[in-house]
Amino acid sequence: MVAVAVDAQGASKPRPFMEQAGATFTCVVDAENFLSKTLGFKAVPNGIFVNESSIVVHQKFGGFDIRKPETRQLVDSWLTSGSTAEAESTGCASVDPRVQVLFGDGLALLRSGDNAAALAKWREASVIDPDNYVVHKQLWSIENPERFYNGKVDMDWQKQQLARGL
Amino acid sequence: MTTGSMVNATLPQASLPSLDGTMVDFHSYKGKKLIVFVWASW
Repeated sequence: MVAVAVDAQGASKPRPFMEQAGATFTCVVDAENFLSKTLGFKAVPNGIFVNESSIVVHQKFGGFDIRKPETRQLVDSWLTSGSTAEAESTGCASVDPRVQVLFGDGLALLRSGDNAAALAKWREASVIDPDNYVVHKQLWSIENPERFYNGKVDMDWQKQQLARGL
Repeated sequence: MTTGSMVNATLPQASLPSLDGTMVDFHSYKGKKLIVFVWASW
């Protein structure tokens, strides 16, 4: 198992969550949004099952939560018998290239210290693709860090943001 | 609309930094079953 934390702000953001969870598996950080670009997901959490030959045999985009009995059963079944037959792979529409470019531009601006310009690029991206939660959440987490990094992610606030079209 | 399904494709080659800064190469897991769990703290 390898966990990949998606966060433009780097390792400092996911680290406390991994420490709090007492996780013993490797966690890497995808600050450049590489996997969303190459795999085409717009939300997390996702599970990608890879066999001994590095071939993807199953993917679950969205809702891959090990606390759910069906997720745990799928993982157990695959590890013991190699079967993912009961679960259909769920894909998603590929990410619009314009969104990928705007998100990448925003990352570059964030690295240069121009957060306002980065957020403007990401707002533009979220208008093109309102269903892209990677863009929404990355934007909100920088704009409103108090809603994200105080040991609790304020999901009610996020729902209100979506309802207001932000 | 095409889907972003990666099933039956080779996992993209990626080398990403772990929380302690060590680079981790996905293909170094070749020969073992691997579950890539993608999450975010937001």
